[in-house]
Amino acid sequence: MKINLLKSAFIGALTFTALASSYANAHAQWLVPSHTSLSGDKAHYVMIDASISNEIFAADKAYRPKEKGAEYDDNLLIAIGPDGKPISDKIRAYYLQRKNSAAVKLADEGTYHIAMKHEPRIMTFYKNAEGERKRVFGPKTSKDIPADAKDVRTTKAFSTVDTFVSRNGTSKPALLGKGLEISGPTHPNDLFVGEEARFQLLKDGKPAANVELAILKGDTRYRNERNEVKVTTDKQGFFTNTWQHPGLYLIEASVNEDSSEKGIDSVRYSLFTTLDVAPE
Amino acid sequence: MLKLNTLFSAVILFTAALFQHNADAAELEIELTLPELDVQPYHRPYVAVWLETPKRKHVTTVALWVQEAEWFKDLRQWWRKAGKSNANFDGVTGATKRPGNYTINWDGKDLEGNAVTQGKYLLNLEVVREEGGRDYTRVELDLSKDGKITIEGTKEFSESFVTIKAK
Repeated sequence: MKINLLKSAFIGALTFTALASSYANAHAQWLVPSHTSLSGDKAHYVMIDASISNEIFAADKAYRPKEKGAEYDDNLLIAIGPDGKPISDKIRAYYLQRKNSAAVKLADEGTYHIAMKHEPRIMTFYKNAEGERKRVFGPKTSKDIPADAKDVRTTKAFSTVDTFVSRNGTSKPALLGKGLEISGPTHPNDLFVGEEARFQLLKDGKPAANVELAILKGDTRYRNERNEVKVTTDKQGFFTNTWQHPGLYLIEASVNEDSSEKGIDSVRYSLFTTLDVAPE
Repeated sequence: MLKLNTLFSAVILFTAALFQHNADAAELEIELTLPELDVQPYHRPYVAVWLETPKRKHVTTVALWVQEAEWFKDLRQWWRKAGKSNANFDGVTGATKRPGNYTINWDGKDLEGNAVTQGKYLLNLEVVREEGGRDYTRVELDLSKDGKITIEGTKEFSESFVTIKAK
């Protein structure tokens, strides 16, 4: 029962912008950058694809624009530049059924932290009079929740979906400051096969200790086993990994916590960070 | 600006070569061979040769054969170590080369004209060809001892040699 509840929360948390009818199939979400390292004198564009898909990194479902029926969403993505400020250019993410695509202009030199602009999502789970498990988006006061509902539990879900791109060298990436995210000492755009990377997992900007992460290489479509590597953060939130193969990787983690916030029973943080590993 | 810098650095290097003997620096002679490859199309490779400390910190770029900055990033290992600043390569940048044997002479100085101290270093060689492959290797060498090192050939470069002339 508890497992079921958790599983429901998990699926719900990860797919809140997906079609309600299809959320059962989708859980991972991710960004795919066209480049992670760029050189040259002129300003560059990098293409960012976003999708909700278990097949890493094959697109499955796009995020629906907030405005119903819109062909694009200018508020889907954020890019924080080397100066620590969000870029002022509009990032227009087109809705393409299975993915969203946006061109992000990199005018400055250094590292850009690119992420989905996710707001926390409130979900309430309950059992109806027939004992069926139900979920609604919204607080306990939502009108869809029947008066005789049992086991009513409200979760706030906050997911981080991000990646990093550097132009003409790297700089210290800006932090999102909210939710889960990874920080140095290893630079996220300086990853090579055979080398050990050391990162610190942060939650709301503070070290997140004793959290298990899954490090999953992309192209899961072309192999039978997912072969994810599991690592756990130490007391200061640090974890290390030595890359075995070049390619794009998805770093996943989630943290569930009881909440003292009024009307919220638990908070669920999720992390989906895309990293690019070069061959030696 | 880039050109001016290059010219400026070239003048400095030239002047340095005229007036200074390498009394306090080891020298390297790198014999590098780019193979004839029977492929169509063939693009001349981008080549980087550089020195690092044993802990893999960039010391100086010795040679950089390239065309457009847009593709410098494809010299992945060199780019991550030296690509951040033009000052790391302006004085040693040259055009890409056709297949053949080349000798690169290094005077034992970094690009600011300071003698690189004696001791152990890593000599890095990276070759990458558009629509072709990429090969990267690094060898340990000791600038305080005379010696000759053979760099095993790969697809993008043939067997090559490094001769160390200690001071």
